Amino acid sequence: MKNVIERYVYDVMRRLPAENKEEVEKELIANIDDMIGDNRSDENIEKVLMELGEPRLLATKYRTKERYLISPANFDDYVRVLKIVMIIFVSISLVFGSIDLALNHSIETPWEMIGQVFSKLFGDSLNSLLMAFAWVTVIFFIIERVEEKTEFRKWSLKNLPDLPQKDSPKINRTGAVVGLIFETIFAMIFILLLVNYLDVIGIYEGFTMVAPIFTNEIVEAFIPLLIISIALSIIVSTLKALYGVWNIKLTTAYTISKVFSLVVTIIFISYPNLFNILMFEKIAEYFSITTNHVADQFSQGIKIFCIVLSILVTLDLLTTWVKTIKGKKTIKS
Amino acid sequence: MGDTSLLTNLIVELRRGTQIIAVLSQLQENQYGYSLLQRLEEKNINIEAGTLYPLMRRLESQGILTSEWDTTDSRPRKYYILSDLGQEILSDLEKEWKKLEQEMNELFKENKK
Repeated sequence: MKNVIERYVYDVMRRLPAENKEEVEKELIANIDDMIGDNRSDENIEKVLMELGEPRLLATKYRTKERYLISPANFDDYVRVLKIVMIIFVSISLVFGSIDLALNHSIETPWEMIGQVFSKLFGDSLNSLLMAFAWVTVIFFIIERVEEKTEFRKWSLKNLPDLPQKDSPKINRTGAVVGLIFETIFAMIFILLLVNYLDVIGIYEGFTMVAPIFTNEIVEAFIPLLIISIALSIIVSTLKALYGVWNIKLTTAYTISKVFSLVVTIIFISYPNLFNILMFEKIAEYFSITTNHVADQFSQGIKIFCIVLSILVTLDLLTTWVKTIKGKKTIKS
Repeated sequence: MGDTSLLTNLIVELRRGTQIIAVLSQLQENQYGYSLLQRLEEKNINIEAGTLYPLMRRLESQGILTSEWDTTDSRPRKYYILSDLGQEILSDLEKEWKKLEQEMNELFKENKK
């Protein structure tokens, strides 16, 4: 290998500050020469350099001060702040991304629209995550430098945090954020589909629609309610990610949002004439039964669906409340 | 074996604190990097070259060692020797070492009873 010693020395030196660099370099070369001695075979040179170890590590030993972007002492705080800021940034980007979509989406085919919603909200979330990461890192970097020079953050007993709610049921923050992103994406797709493509949702024979599924006026009347219900659940998801534990406030908000969307859903799907009579006629035609029979079966199905949904929501709310109150009790004892 | 590597680590950690006193003890007379390394090795004090050379520089910057280049030989060498401050520090560290030895012996004696 060519100039292996020079390259080794260079690899150490380029990592060192300019002061005394020449001196250190001269000395290192002299030391290496001494270690090699008179046997200047490739094997011996390799042996000596391997003994000195990786240039990167040797360079850190030449430095007198340890250097950090975020020092171990600040790292825990850094991670904690980073999590919270990321959650807030993602929520904000989802809100603004959704508004932007609602105002500026271009109406193409439903598939293109779904793609648009996905890429927009996903891209925005990713961007905001990177931005949160960059900002928090820069700010902690500055804090680190200021701390080095001053006693900014002198510790005293007053700085001790309040005791956390012991054993409060924990919420998985990453899960909550991922849930939040997908919740928003699907909600936006759902709303935009309803708003733009109501006229094309129906039963098709070949490429012509023979019967619409919904009665348009009724669906349109419900859209604001659906939007409110989705907004509520996005707010609650954000709170979930922020708090990280189930507490009374969060569980109350969660209950309100769940009950509201349950009520809206039940009223919506069991609303008279929501489903277009033409669809029932078509289905009756396919199965050679009466239209009334189809409509009856349908409303029966909807009733069962509503009952099952109500039971599931109630169970979910009950377990959440039990978790919350249990967590609360253990603090007092 | 997990145990031996654990023991090795603990020994390395214990010995790390004695490196400076070992280095200083051998610098009553002029030494350059490699000669000091060999001298320590002869006395069974194993310190890595990559640790020793930066350490000597640091001790110099703290005023404990002084140095001088010798360019008369075909190989230029940087010789280090204890400064007056270094002499004082070495004798203080020696006293501390003896105190430490005594204290440790006391601790071990209690264990044996």
